[in-house]
Amino acid sequence: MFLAINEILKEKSRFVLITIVIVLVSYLVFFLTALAYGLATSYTQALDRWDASGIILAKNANDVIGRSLLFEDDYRDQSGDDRALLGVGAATIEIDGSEDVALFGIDQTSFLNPEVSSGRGFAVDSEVVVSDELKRIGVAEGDVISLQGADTTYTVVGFVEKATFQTAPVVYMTLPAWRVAASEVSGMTAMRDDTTVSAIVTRGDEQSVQTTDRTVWQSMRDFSFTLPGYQAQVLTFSLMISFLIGIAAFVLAIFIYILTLQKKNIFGVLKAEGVSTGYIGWSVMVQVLLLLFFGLAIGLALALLTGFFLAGKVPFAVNVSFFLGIIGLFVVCAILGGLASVRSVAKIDPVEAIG
Amino acid sequence: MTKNAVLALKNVSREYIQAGQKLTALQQVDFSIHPGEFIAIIGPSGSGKSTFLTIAGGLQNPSSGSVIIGGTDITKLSVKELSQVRLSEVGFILQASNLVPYLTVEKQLQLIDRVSRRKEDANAMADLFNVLSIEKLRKKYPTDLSGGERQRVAIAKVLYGTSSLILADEPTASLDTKKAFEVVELLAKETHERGKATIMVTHDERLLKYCDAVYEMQDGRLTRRKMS
Repeated sequence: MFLAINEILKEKSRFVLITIVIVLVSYLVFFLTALAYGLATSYTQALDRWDASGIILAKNANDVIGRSLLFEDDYRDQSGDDRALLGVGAATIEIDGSEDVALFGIDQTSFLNPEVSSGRGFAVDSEVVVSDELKRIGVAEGDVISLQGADTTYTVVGFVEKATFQTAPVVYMTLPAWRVAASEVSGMTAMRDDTTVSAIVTRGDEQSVQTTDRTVWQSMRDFSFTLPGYQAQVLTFSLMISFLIGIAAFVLAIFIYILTLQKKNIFGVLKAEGVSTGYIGWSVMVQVLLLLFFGLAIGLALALLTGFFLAGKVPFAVNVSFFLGIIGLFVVCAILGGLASVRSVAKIDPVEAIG
Repeated sequence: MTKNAVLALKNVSREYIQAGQKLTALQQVDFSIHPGEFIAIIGPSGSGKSTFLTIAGGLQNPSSGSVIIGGTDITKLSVKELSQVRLSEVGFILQASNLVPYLTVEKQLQLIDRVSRRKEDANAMADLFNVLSIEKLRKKYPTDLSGGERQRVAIAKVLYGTSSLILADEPTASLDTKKAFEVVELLAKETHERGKATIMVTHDERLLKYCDAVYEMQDGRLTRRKMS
């Protein structure tokens, strides 16, 4: 402790530089992890909030929800609180700017109905609740929006946080309103059937789900991975991020090891004077942990700050367990690096240090 | 006479195997030193002076014979116990002073308190700083000190500890004549006054006048020089 702290006080600029290295490495890792995680969640954010077990699609849709159409015959047997009808579509809204959005037609009494963060839920077909990401392009409560290629207009009555699907902000509306909107936008006249939905979202385990020969059920996780681009993106990013984390942790361990190795001479003299290896080892560890504490804390703070200022512009999302995992790994690797150098301190022959 | 000796070597030999050849660094050395004695060992380089010092200081074991510090045969101790003996009984003053580069003069002494888990003795410290005239250097780092000042701090460090045996390896090697005389005179005076036992290895014949006895080392044999 005494040696560790006094050395830091004496060699201030050196230790500031070392801390900066740890800050930069951890900043990079924290920030990129949050970005990759944010991008991945922006694909499925709106789905994750459902707390659903799976989804039933039309068999002939080949897992693509946009092509899936189910009618009353397909879901007559699917009733109860654990089932919810969902209409999905894609459209472009126009206000000050234009923005691609996902249309979600839902039954307000089902569990798909999102909790609004401001305003209120929609009451009639001409009202919609939208993702708060649309505030960025100037959408405000009470605004009237229209969809490109359609005549109907809608009044925005509320906002929902964290509501994106395949990175597009979600516009929630009633099922009848969705049928009109989706058919107007795409020109699919089959939508006119007033029982049409895209899918049935299910809660409860797989055994409880009944499908017909026209429908197929898959878990939410499987469904997420069939979203176009999702799997490729998640795999690529998780590989990149895990390599980044692994290499950064390794570099940190080597860095700490070399840092202590430089001081072998003075440790040798201390050992000759009868200072125990335990005392020297402990002071090495204290120093490692101090550097790490400040480095990681500042790196984390910088990453969170950057995320805060870039909010809305980039998909930045913190996953606490990822961050704890990274911190844990860095601490373990740095301690291993420290222990390796303590081991070399233990091996110093005091005779050589004196001679 | 080895009774009450701070350090006693009995029939100590040390052999090395180097490049397949057996080298004898020490041959049947008998030696003892008592409290208040300031002894010099001289001899050409390679004569075994350094080996003698490292064995006397418990840094390495002899091939045969026994080394007794404060009544204990240290050749039978474990590495850890040996380290404990060095910490409490032996003080080293080295050619290039053995000060920790990132501790101020004051903290060099405080470190001894820390590692031996004892309380700081502010009076003893102040007294040493005063006697060794390094009071104004308290807050300075070793790199800011001259060679003479550094050796005086090294002496302060040794005297501040509990060591009864002081081993000085060429303590004046990096000093000019005037400084060398000052440092050795100081070391001799404190050795006598505080009842320590000091062994100084040196090349410099002019320093021998401060010593109570002089030993000569030649080819691993230690002989006492007759005082004129």
